[in-house]
Order: sequence, then C-alpha cells, then structure tokens
Amino acid sequence: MTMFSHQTFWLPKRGSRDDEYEDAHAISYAHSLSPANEHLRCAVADGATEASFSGVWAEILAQHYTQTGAFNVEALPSLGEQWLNGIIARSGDQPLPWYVEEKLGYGSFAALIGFHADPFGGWTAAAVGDCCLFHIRLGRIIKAFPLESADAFNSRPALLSTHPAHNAGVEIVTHAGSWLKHDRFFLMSDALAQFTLMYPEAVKKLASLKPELFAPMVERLRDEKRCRNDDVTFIRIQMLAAPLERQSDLQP
Amino acid sequence: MAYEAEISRSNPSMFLFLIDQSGSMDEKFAGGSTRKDQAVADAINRLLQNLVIKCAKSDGVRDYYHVGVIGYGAKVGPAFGGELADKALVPVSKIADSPVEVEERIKKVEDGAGGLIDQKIRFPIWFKPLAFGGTPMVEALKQAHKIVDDWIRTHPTSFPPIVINITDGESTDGDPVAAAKALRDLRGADGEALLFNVHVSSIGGATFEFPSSESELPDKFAKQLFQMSSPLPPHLQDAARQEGYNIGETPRGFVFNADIVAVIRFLDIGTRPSNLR
Repeated sequence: MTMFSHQTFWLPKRGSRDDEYEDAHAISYAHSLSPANEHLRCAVADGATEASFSGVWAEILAQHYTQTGAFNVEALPSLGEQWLNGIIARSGDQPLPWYVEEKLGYGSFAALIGFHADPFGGWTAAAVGDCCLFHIRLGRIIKAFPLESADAFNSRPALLSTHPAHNAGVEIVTHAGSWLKHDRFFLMSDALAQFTLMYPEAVKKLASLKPELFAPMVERLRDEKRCRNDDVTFIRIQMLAAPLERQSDLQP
Repeated sequence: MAYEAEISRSNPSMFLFLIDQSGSMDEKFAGGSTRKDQAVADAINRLLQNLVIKCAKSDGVRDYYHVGVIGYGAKVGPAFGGELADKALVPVSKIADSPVEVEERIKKVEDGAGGLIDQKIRFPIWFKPLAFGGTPMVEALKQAHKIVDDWIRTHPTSFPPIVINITDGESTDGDPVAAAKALRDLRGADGEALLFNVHVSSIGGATFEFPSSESELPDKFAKQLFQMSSPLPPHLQDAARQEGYNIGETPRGFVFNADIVAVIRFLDIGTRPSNLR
C-alpha cells in the first residue's frame, strides 16, 4: 500500500551553479507490507548565504531530521563536530587558506523545517528560521508554519549554528495536526515560501506542477520580482489513502 | 529606487579607500595612545580581511567586490603593498591570495562554557602605515573620479561605487568640495556614487557619527568634510540604527573624532550589503 506520494524540486539562485546550491532536502519513506509501518519524514534546510560550507551544514541537519523524525538542541554539538570533521577531511593534507580557517571559526548557520506524517492521520513539524510548511486541503492553505505572513520574512531569525555558543538563543518551534485523504503538504525554503504566502492562490498550480516546468516557473517569478533570487527548494507531499485506525482505537 | 541592485559575481560592486598619508597622520588620536596612521592601517587591513571573509565560500573567494586603496601624502596613487602594488582596483579573490604578510595574533574567544580562551589567528597585512608630506586631497578625489567613472562605464547596472575617504582634515592642494561633488555626481542605473568621510582628528571633545547637520561640528575642516559627504541611503540608515547609532532624519556618511573602534564600525556599516547574492 502506498500511503503518501512525494516529489522534490530545487533550483540554485540565478548566477550560481548546481554545486553552489546551499539548501538541502531529505526524505525518508519506505513502502511497507504493513501499512502501520509507513511513516514519512522529510526536511528542507537553507544554509545562510554569508556563512561558509553552509550547504554541508544544511545537508547534515536535513538528514538528521529524516533519520530521527525529531529535532532537539542536544543533538547540535555532535552535528557541529560532524560538519567540522567533514571539512577538515575534505581538505586532505593541504593547509587551509587563512580565510577558510578564519571563517570556520565563525561557524555556519541554517534554517530548517522538518515534517513527519504517521499512517494514522497525525503529523508533526519542527522549525527553526524561515523555511516553511503549508498544509493544504481542497486547494486552500489551512495551516502555514512557522511563518504565517509574507511580511514575517524580513526579520533576521536566529538560525541553527555549527557552534554551540551561537545556539543559546535558538528556539525550535513545533506543531502537530491531523491529515485526511487527499490533503497535501508543501515544504519550502524561504524565497518560494514568501511567494506562496503573498500569492496563496498559487498553491493550486504548485499542486499539479510538472517537474519540467518548475525551473521555468521560478525563473519567471524572479523576472517579475515576485520571488527573490535565492536557492529554491520545494517538497510536495500528497496523502493518497485514508488514515489507518489504530489497533487500540478499534472496538472489540 | 536606487541602491537596490543585487551584488553578485556577474554584477559586482566596488569600494575605493582614499587614505590620508600626510605628515600629521603620525600624531595620536585625541585622548588615545595610537598613532593615526597605524590605527587607520589596522582598520583598513581589518576591513579587507572582513570583506575577504564575507566573500569566502566553500569553493573559494567569490568576486562580489573589487577594491582599491589610494594613498595621498608625499605622492598620490595606489597604496597596496606586495604583489598588488600599483594596482588601482583589485578583485577580492586576488586580495585574499596576496597579503604582504600574515601576522599571528592572539584573540580571546568564547569557549562555549561561559569562559574565554586564547586562540591564535592569522592577521593578514596588505597596507602599511605611512605619514609624510602634504594632504593633496583634491588630487586624490580626481584620481578616484577617474577610477569610479571607468567602473560605472564598464558596470552600468552594478550597485553604485562607494568611496571612503579617511583624513585628519585640511586639504593642502585646494578646496576639495567641488571635486567631491563631481565624484558624487557620477551615477549608474542604480544611483549615484557614494562618498563617505572619516575625520580622524587630534582635537579632543565630542564625537559625531552620521550627523544630519554641520552646525555643531567644531571646525571648518569638519564642516567641509560633512558637506562633501553623501546622504546615507536608507539601507545604511537601517544598518546604523541596528548598530545603536542615534541618527537624525537626514544623516550623512561622515564621522568625526572617531576612535579606532568607531572607524571600524563605520567601515563595516558603510560596506554592509543588503542584497548580496
């Protein structure tokens, strides 16, 4: 049985190559003979532009969420070490240039939205920063999380850092809800999320958008100044089946 | 709207520093123990370091900026040392790879457990202090005019050039106001070139940061530099307020009697991108 469908779309900012894309996305979903084991976990992370190696950090955070289905501040120190060790290993025996060494000292930063749907009709989300989740029913946004208006994107939120000292002010916000058959969920990094909150009628088009039309659509929105020129990531999920009833819910 | 062009590798911006290297720069700051030429050199080196770090990405240093340093004292001309000597404008990746030397310094950093530890850092030097001769500010502004004019012709849609003049006051080759206006009048599609002035005075007394009027400035040279300075564009007004500066309605890019910390803060605000991509 297939409970959920999912597609991922991404595009680097205009002027950047694919290997310079600093968002990240991850999905963990395995079909199972037992529908009760079908859980979907996915995440979108957005590495901060001014930081260095922020794409690597975003990838670590997205993978961590999909592997564990949860997120807490206690996990950050070991993830930060994983980031640093990866960069050092990548440089091999070559000494790091002075500016790389200095910039590593500043650490890297990323925003994150993580989403977990269980087969019984429940979902949870965890967020830091301005990556967003939209819950869509009958073509309308019924929940936007964690930001609810396009104006909210102008602030500079505290982001998840590779350096423990920078995470003191970080708040991981969570939300839980329930889903029905045919509901959709969109996860987005900030540029497309801001567009979606500004033009909520666009969710219908986004729900049926063919993969080959994603890049032309984003480029057109950039030309029209309706979408900032930034890395763009979009995970689209649809609930294909009705939620299962829990065994404990069944009457004898 | 002006000053909104995106700063990218294909649409880079530029900074040009004009550094007073006249004999009087060997005096100390008002109430301080540091020579002005040394303090200014430290500030420029720190700023170049910050710019390189800002542009350093996983794949190397991206050329979001081109940077020049013009010294004026016994002579007027490009003031980088080492491999970059005689170059008027250099992409930031070249600056990253071409310091004259890299000093090792110690800085205190947080240890993550509420304490501080010493950390060795490398402090690159591109520009060395010098204090000799007069203050040919008009000639420096004219050289800046040519560099900025050439830049705008070849980068007509880029974020407008920013020129930062650091001086201890009196021009010795004539009235610089007209040359400053000619420089500010150069414009591309995204607005006029910006000229900011940092007055590093030996006179004690009040400090002025981004004033809206010249009425309280203490001498005619400060007033003249105020008149020469561009109004702060809105994004830099926001940056200055975020830094805690108490600015008025029509602030200009001018600071007076600034100590070295204020000079660095000024330079950092003056070069802060609102739209780096």
